[in-house]
Amino acid sequence: MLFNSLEFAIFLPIVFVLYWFVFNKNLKLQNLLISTSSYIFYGWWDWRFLSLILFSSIVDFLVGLGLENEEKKHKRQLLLWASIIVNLGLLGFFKYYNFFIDNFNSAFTLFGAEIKSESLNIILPVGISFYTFQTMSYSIDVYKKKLNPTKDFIAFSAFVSFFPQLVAGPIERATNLLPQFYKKRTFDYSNATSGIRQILWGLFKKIVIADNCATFANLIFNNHTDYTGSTLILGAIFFTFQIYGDFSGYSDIAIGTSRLFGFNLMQNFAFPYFSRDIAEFWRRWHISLSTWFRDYLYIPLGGSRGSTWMRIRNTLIIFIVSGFWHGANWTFIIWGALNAIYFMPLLLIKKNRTNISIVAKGKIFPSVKEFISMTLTFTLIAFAWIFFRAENVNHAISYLSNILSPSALSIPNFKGMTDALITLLFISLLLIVEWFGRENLFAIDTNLSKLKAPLKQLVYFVLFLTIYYYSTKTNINQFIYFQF
Amino acid sequence: MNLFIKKLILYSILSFGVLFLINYLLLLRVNNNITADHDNLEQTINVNADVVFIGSSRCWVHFNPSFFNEKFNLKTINIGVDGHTELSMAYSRLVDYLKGNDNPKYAVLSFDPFIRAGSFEGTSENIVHKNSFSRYAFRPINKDWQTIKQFNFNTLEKYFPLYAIFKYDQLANCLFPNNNSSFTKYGYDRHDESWNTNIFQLVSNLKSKFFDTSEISAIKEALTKIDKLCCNNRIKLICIQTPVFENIYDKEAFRITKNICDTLNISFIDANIRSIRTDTSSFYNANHMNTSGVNKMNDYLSQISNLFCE
Repeated sequence: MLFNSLEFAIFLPIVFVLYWFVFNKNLKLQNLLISTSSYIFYGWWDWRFLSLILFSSIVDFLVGLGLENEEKKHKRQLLLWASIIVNLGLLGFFKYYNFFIDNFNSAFTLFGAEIKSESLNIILPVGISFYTFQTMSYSIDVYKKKLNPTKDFIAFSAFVSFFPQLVAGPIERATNLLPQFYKKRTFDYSNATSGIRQILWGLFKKIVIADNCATFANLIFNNHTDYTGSTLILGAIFFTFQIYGDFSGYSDIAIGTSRLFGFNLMQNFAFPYFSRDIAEFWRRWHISLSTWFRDYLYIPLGGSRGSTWMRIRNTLIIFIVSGFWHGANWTFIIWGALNAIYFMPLLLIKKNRTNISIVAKGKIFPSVKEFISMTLTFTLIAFAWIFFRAENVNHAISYLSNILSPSALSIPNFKGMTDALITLLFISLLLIVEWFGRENLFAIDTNLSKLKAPLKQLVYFVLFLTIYYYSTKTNINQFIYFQF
Repeated sequence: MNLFIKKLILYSILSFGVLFLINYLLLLRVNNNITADHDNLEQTINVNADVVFIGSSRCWVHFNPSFFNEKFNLKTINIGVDGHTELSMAYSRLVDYLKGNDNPKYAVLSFDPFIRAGSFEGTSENIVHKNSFSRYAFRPINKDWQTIKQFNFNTLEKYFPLYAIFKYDQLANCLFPNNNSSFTKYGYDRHDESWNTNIFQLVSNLKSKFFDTSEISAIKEALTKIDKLCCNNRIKLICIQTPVFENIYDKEAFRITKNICDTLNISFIDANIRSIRTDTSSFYNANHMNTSGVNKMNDYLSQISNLFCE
């Protein structure tokens, strides 16, 4: 079920009413309702893959119980490895099997040997990278004794399958989300209204920004040899905003929906395109994944302790693994490596924690230096996204080589320029609203509530009307991150 | 909680209320207007014609009501639907016509090898001119229902105000309706131009669009349904086969149509005469005649003394 679908528009109010009016007296029933509705939500896409979520939930639940009763280190390690092998095994098979087989065959062919390993026709279960990481984090935290294992399978199942964030995150930590399933939820009016605002803003980012950008990004990327360098630059910019609108839009809807049910999920995007350097960008982009890798990979590897070489190695590993997490394609690995290269100089001169607070805090405009830093960082990010979007490495190289031509200085030209200009206007609007709302959890969190009633209602209605208008136009409904 | 629910419901009602109001005002604006040439459902109410022409673009383009008005002294209307060769569409269009008019004496169906049975269940996959008819998609009223059903509008388009108008880019057309359509001026889609072979090739593969023998039973069934509708409303059904250019003429294919009508005991007139179909000046493309061709066909039809007799 997609957030931007009629099915979800019917599903959400039904679950909401049942949750607060029918099952509100009993916490267990509320959790059961969440678990059941989450399975319906997921099964709407393909019910066969529900077994994977259930299997992953049972394994980690049992691992948690096992860890509680086990004091011997090697047995505890064995249990932890069981969880990691099962989760990464599922992920590896469904997501990476064909990639490894194809590359294995290619490597042998290169040396003149013919290998007959055949790739399989595997469907990638939606959201598998998200829920496997979430359940794994539970087992790791229990293993590290940061969290007491749960004995309540319904609560645990609801935690793993919680529908707002099941298929595209935020990847929640058990330490944050699981305890919320034990506590009685009370309805908080201001939290719920703010949640609705966040959903509205998420829909705007997805339907108005991402889907419109996708039209042009797809057109330009799929026919890149037909266009001038300047058009290709514009294509890269469209994709830069498409992926932001799509993914941060999803996160906003997920977080907003959770708030309607009395849950608080972690912030996943904190205005990343206003970052002044790449380190800041990675503290603000897909925060739940970045911190996951930081806590469960980077720090266990030694983090920023140790020699310079160790720090370089750890940084490279975390970025490349992060790239590979996105998909079984060399383009993602290169994208990760490229970000590592961007990050490395900051690490070496120990400037990777310079820009911690939000840019130009308390000011209307950034300083010239801040503006230049933001523009440069944005350019580097947009450049890296070309690899992320390309079908394969050759496509990315060809795209980049076409950009680096004299035609890069010409005026962009392609079919649908008028609509593209309208989309650029919407992007500008997004940037303005996000700039003025950058000190909040999401752009329109408190800004709009400051407006006087009639104007505020008018703004909401115009926002709603724009979303409604573009929801009729677009055929691109899928969220990009469903494939990861 | 109660305040939240109340506000949410109020906002939803107000928002959709405003959408509903805008939709209503737009429909008021286009009331009795044609927005995109083909959406003439409102223009065909209270006409009370004696003769109704039904069929596809070959009906829409080939039958000039003025000629029949003058020659046979019969009030005539052309309700052909461009791009829709399905008999189900002709049937639906006639059903809706009958809801807003007295029964005509005659229904003339343009019947030729391009025809298809179509779907009477509203599951048609032919969506030609769906955008033109999208103004009727939202909560279609009974008088338009049968025709609109043929376009297979989805739930959102049918039950959400403005959805179809937005989706099919009809907002501008609704704000600025086209009062200068060929239907408004002539009552049919008149084409004065001669054949521009740069646009429409002389040699075409249109023969591949003829129905094949496996479709005959479905076509017979559909035609029977139209005939039954006519009989029940005391309308005489006449099938007329209009000319195509010689290059796409196929004797056998154009004979089967007559056979079908003969077996169903439906009047059939073959106006696909050699003198017209061999003359390029009669056409603007291989299967549509221009005004010159239409006039020639009318001359031929006017010689058929028993064309409109009980």
